[in-house]
Formats: sequence, structure tokens, C-alpha cells
Amino acid sequence: MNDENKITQPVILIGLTILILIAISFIKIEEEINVFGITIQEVDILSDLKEAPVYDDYYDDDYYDDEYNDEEEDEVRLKRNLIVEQNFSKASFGVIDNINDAAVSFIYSEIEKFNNSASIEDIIEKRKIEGKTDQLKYFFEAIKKANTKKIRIAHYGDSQIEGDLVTGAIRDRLQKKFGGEGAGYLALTSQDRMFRITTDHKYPDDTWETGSIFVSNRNKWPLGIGGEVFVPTKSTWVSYETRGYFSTVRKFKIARLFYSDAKILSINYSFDGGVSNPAKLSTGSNVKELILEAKKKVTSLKLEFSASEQAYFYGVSLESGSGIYVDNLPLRGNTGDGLQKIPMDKLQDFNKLLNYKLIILQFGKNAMGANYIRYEREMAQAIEHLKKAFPQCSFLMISVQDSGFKTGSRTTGLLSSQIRIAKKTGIAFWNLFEAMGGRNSMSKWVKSSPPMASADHTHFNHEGSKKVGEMIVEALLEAYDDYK
Amino acid sequence: MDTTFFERLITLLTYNPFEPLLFNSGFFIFFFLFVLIFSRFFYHNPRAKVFFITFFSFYFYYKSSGIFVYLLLISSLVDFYAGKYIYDCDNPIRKKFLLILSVLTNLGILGYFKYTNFFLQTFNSLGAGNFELIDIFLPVGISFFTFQSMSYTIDIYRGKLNPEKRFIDFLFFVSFFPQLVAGPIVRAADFLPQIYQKSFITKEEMGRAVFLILAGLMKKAIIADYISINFVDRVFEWPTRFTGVENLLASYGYALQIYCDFSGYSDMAIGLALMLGFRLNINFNSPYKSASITEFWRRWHISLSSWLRDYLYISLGGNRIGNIRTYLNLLITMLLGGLWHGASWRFIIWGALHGFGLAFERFTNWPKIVNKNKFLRVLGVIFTFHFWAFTMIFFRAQSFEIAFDVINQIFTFFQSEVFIQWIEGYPIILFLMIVGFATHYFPEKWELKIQKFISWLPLIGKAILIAIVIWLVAQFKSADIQPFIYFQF
Repeated sequence: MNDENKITQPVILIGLTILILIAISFIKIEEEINVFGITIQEVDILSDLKEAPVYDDYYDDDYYDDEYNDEEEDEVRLKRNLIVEQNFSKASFGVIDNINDAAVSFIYSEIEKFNNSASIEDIIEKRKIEGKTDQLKYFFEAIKKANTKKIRIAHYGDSQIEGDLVTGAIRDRLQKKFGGEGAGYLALTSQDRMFRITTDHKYPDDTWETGSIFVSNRNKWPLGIGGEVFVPTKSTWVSYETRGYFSTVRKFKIARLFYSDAKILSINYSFDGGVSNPAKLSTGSNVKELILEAKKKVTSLKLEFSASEQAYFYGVSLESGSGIYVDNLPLRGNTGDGLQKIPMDKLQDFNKLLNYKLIILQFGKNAMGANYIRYEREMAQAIEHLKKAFPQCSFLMISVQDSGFKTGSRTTGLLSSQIRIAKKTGIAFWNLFEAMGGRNSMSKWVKSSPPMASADHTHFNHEGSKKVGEMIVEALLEAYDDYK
Repeated sequence: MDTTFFERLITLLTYNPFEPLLFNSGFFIFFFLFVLIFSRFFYHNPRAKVFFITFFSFYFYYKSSGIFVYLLLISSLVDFYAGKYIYDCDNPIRKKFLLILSVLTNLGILGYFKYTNFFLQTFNSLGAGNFELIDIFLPVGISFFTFQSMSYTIDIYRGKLNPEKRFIDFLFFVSFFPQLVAGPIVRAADFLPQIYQKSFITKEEMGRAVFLILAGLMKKAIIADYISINFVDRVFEWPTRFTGVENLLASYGYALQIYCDFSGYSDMAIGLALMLGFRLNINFNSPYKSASITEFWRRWHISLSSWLRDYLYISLGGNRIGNIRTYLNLLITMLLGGLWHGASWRFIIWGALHGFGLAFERFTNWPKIVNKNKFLRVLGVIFTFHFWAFTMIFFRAQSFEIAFDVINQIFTFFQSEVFIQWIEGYPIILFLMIVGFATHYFPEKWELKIQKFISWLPLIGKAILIAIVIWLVAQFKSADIQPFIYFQF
């Protein structure tokens, strides 16, 4: 009895399973149901064969619909309409044409696949900067004079810009085009020093106490431009040595130390391991800079601090002559709203010293799943805070990137939220999500050869970060060409 | 972009470098239904059945590897004729020559696609040259099918196997899609005799097949995929961002992930093959129940470790030529076994650690001592698991630097108070890890009971069960990434 051959059963079983799954695909989920933080999705086994669904949570081209005055943009939209119309007319010709078209595209795509490589070049989309692009005028006017002046950019972001990967690529491209040598602003201690690709940063452990937006600021110290402030707990030192990953940051001529409230005024410094020279800080509660100039271009700097609680130290900037400097300012685990916590007077002090012309904001991942209404309010407040402190500065918001095996509703929800923030605060916006390939593109970045993102399906790797940085610069330069 | 139905159909049916055909992809179930229909229709006509399944297997390989489907064909041709000539040849020297030719062809193919850049890099780093790395696509499953066909020619040479008469039969054996891309590595002697038997499956086997497919799906597509993307990969990407507690949990997590991923895929392969009426040998036998490394390698990826034993260790002389040679042979076998897993020094070190482990256990007679009483056995299980999890840090990390970072964080920056925060922050990960480990340590009897229950279910009940699991898999697959949490300490 038990040895009876049931060889027909597998066919029926799998057939039945498919029927049940097809039946399940008719179930529509009206309300959002969450189970342990996982949002229940509709499951449609035939989805690959159906037309891409229209999502109502976020539209790819709804940004500033009422403000499209760019002629080229109109042309693009016109073309898109034309394609839609063509498809309509095709439909009327019937099935034969469709099969014919499909056959032709089959042959072409099979030929293309001969090299067998999975490359993101096929999925990335050239994406313009959208929205209030005329707000970028401060930056564009400034770079016209880049050959005689120093132009400064601040790049704020969360863990995705740690390690100076994305920022490093932006800086590299801009410095090669407009001049400038040096990695810009660096903190005195940092959480990402193990993997910073542009600077080898050293200091003895347990000699610095830090107040910051993203860890804690229990002494209520005034925070600096990077959202951090550093105070020595005993006599200590900090050293920076450039790394060769990008050519324009290998050497620098000037180091600027930013501080305030100095109590003990003497410090020592040396370049390239040479003799230690004394220098003097000055007193006062506003942010000051100590400018240290090397006799020739150098690759390393060491600063020695003589006493505990000597002063509030904010950071060091490594620079040379005129050109563009891009400051990498990562706030790990932050949504960006924390920028409000940097006191207005400190920001204004920094603006006098550094005169920022462009602030790039690249946040998002840490706001995923949060209350977006609150996030919009807080982030808009943070941007207004910065705008007040830097009135002659342009702002560019970079959208959240795609993440996960598939794009979830939290990502698209955040994306539309970020579009609203940019709209509300009147700043320019660049849609990284669409530029990297839109829905479900992260898994392709991970699978691409070579891989462009890490297996966590969230962070870009070295290659990918470089690509993202280059794409941002490309969009900026295109907007600059339009402006000129 | 707007596409027509036919364009979408063609996109779905053709090779897509971004979407290899996995058992847990939506398309596969339709593919499998087709195979089942043909195989059922021709079940009394083995020749037709062999032809159609081979055809589908080649399609399966094309869908994952595109043009490299020809590589599979060419390597099969070489081995089929090598086997034939070795068998027909009476001259032992010529016989040996033919064998070496066949082995070198297989290793040459494997070496070119998998190890070229590794060797170039090693040369470069030794200062022996400055070679440009070559952009080589690694054809899916190449490590598996080359080993499978090598066992065929070596067995013929050793006189253990008679060559197949018809090329299509050999092709069927090499390309059989359930085990083609990720094993188990099937032996010709086990598999070929099944070809010309009438396909049959009993009621109990039906239950076992469904059980294996379901267990495999849950292990691979729920536990492994979810904990990797939402926790393990984050830590191994940048271990210094996380405390020692998190690094330790990620190392445990990775041990679970790799087991679930690999054994889950093997389980599915065995279940799918069984539904087609083919019986493949078990590939994983609750390896984390092992009380010694020696025992571990009898329970982990059995088809590979027995392959290495029969074709590498024994070819080197095994334990027949003195103690020192035995230890050396163990070490060489494990080193090369390590290299088989991936083209990097990390895998060689990983293999070396296991080689030393095995040699040490052989020297101290550890596997026997540890089985003397329950207490020692429990200690042995805990120690063996930790040894494994430790070596797997080198297996998983993308570089030695990252591997040492993980170890360094665990030993110098532990921050045990973060554990409570971790539990609160990652409840689903914790739940999946508990389920994963707990079910692993369940007694075997329970597994048989569940199989029995599934056998007893009517077909519609089985179908509903599979549909539920597929639905669950889809939910986990499309779930938003869990937020990144940086704990305070």
C-alpha cells in the first residue's frame, strides 16, 4: 500500500499551489497592516508579466509640477507623452506588431548579453537637479571666481557619507576642475577614522572628551560646524597624514585650527614630522582660527595640546590656495534634524571664517519608518536654521537612496516627504533614488559586477560611493552650464 | 518604461545577469511545473524523460549564466569521451595520461574562471609582476559541476564505474538542474543507475519532499536572507562601527546564516529531485550538533567532504603512508578545500585552521574522548561551534583587515550592557536566530513526525502549506530594511 507509486501527485501539488497563489494575488490590502514592524504586502505571483503598477505613494516626476519652466524639461515630457501615444497606437494594430517588436528587442538584448556582465550603467538615469535651482546662484556665482578665491562646500549626511567616500569623490572631481588642494575640514577625534580614505587620523585614546549631536553633549558645550566639540582631558596630541586615494588631497600648505574660549594659550605644531613649533591661541568666546602655514607643500600635521580643558576645539582644515574645498561632515545615526542643535552664533562665526557657498544635505536612512509629518517639520526647521546662519549660501538636498531586496513603502514615503521638505524650504533637490535606477535598484547595485553596494543593501561601497559622488557633481555641473 | 506583454514575457524567459534563477524565485515554480508535466507524461519512457529533463536543465543554466551554457556542454563532452577512452584503453601509462588530461581540463576551466585574478593578485603583491586584473565572469555552479564530472573519470580510471554509453545520459547526470548550481555534488555511481528506472515516489517520500522544500525555503529565504541583510552584513561591512557584543552576535548570526543558506538550498534540491523520482544523498546532518571538528566535517556539506576524502586525501596517500604524511595530507586537503570555497587567501587560512584542527584531534584522539560522557559531549559541542564560528569570520569578512577588526572588537570593546538594547532593537532578528538554532538542536524524531504529518495531509492541504510558506517568503523579501541602530554605551 505504502509503496504505491504517487508519481502523479507532484504535478497536481505544484499546479494546485500555483492556483492558490494566483487566488492570493487577487487579495487587495486596503489598510496598512504591520506585524512586528513588517508591513504586509500584496503578493502577486504574476507581477512580472503585468504592467508596472502605478504607485500612489510617490511619483517619479511630480516634483515642482507647477514650476517646470525649463524648456528642455518640457521637451522631455513631450517626448514621454509621445511614447505613450505611440504605445496606444501600437495597441490598435494588435498582437502581431507586439510580437514582432518583442522578437526584435529579444534579438538585440540577447546580443548585448554576450558579455554576460551585470552593469549598473544600464540602469542609472541621468538626473537633473530639480526644484528651486535658482537658489544655487550663490554657489554658481562663486565658482566663476574659483581661480582667485577659496570656495567652500559643506557636505552633511549620515553614515552613508562616513569615511569621506562620497564626499571624497565630489571633492576630487571639483578640485580637478576648479583647483584646490587639501581634504578640508576634519574633526579632532572621529568615529570613522578607521576607514577614512583620505586621511590617516591618529590621537591617543581617552585623552579627548567629545560633545556631539549624535552621541551626547552632557556638558552642554557649544557645538561647532561639524556638530561636535572636543576638549582635551589631559595633555595630548592629534595627527593627520594624507592618504593617496585621491590625488588632490595628497598635499596641503595651510592648516587652520578652529577653537573658542581658550584658557591656556600655547600649543605646538609640526609639519611632516619636523621640529615642533610653538603657536598662540587667543582668548574670547567667539570661534577663532589659528592659521599654520608650512614653508612648502606637506603631507602631515601634528598638533600638541598642553593641558586639560585648554579650550573648545572644533576642527582643523587642511587647504592650499584658491579653488574648491569640500568639507565632509558626517552625523552618524542622525536624521539631519539634529543640525538645529548647533548654536546660531557659532554657525555665524564659522560662516565668517569659512564663507560656505553650498551646503549639501544627504540624510534619510535613519528617518525611515519614523513619523514623517514630524520629520518634515523638524528637518525643515533645521534647514531654516542653517539658511539663517548662512544667508549667502546655496542648498542642495540629496534624496534617500533605495534600499533592501525590494523597495519598501517606507523608502518611497520618505522620498515624497523629502521632496515636500525641499519644496517647503525652497531649496534645490537631487533625486538619488531615481538616478540610481529607481525602484528595486539597490539589489542591482549589490549584484552588479563589480559590486557597487555592500551586502547590507543599504550602504554604497567604495566603487558605488565614487559613482554617487560623480553623479552628484555631474548634476551640479549641468545645472551650472544651464545657469551660465 | 512601458512594455508590451510579449516583451515582458521575453524578459522573464531570457537570461538576466541581475536575476539568476533561484529555487526561491517566483519564476521557478512555473518552470518546475513544466518539468513535472513532461516528466510525468514520459515516466514510462525513460529516454524521452532524460531528453526533456536535460533540455530543461540546460535552459535553467542558460537563464542563470547566459552564453556559458556552452561551457557546460563542452566540459561534459571532454569528460564523456575521456571516460570512454580511459575505459577502452589497455595501456596503463596511456590510461594515466588520459586521466591527467581530463583532470587538467577540468581544473583548467575552474582555474581560469575562478582563480586567474587571485593568482595575478598574488604575483603582484609578491612584487613578481604588475599584471592587470582581467574582467572574468564566474559561471554559476562551475565549482560543482567540474567536481562532479571529475569524479566520473576518476572512478572509471579506478575501475569502480563503467562509462555511460550514451552522451545524453552523461549530460543528464552533469546538468540535472536541482543540484547543478549549488550541489549536492552527486556521484555518477549513485545517480546514473536511477536514470532508467521507472520514476516512482511513495506516499512517505512525497511528505519528505514537501518537508524538505518547505524547510529549505524557510531556512534560505526567511532566516538566512533576513538576518544577513538586516544585521550580519551591516556588522561585517564596518565592524568598527559596532560594539564587541554586536560583532559576537553577528559572528553567531553568520554561522546560522551560512548553515541556513547552504543547507536550505541543498534541502530544496533534494526535495525537488525526489518529486522527479530521483534520490540524492543527504548533504547536511545537523552539523552544529557535532562534538568535534572531525565529526563536524562528517555532518557539514557531506557531498564535498566525502569528495575531498575520496579524490584528494586518498589520492595523496590518505593515512596509509605514515603518521607525518597523514597529518600533512589532512592539511593539504583542507587547504585546497578552503580554496575551493573562494579565490582568496582568507579561504586558504580558513582551510588551514580546519586542517590543523583535524590534525590536532587525530593526534589527541579527541573525538573518542569527547564521546565518553554527556557532559564532555556538551562541552565538545559548544567548543566545536565556537571554533567554527571563529573560522567563519575569515570566511565572511571581505578582507583580513575586517576579520581582525571583528576579532579585535569582540576582545577589546565588548560593552556587554549593549546586549539588552540589542534585544529591544532587533526583536525579529533575535526571534529568527532563536528559531534557527532551536530547530537545529531538535531531536531527529521530531523531524520524522513532521514529515509523517505532511505525508498524511491531503494534496490540497500540502498545497496550502506550500502557498503559505511562499507567501511568508514574499513578505520577508519585500519587507523594508530594519532601521540602523547605533547603541549608546
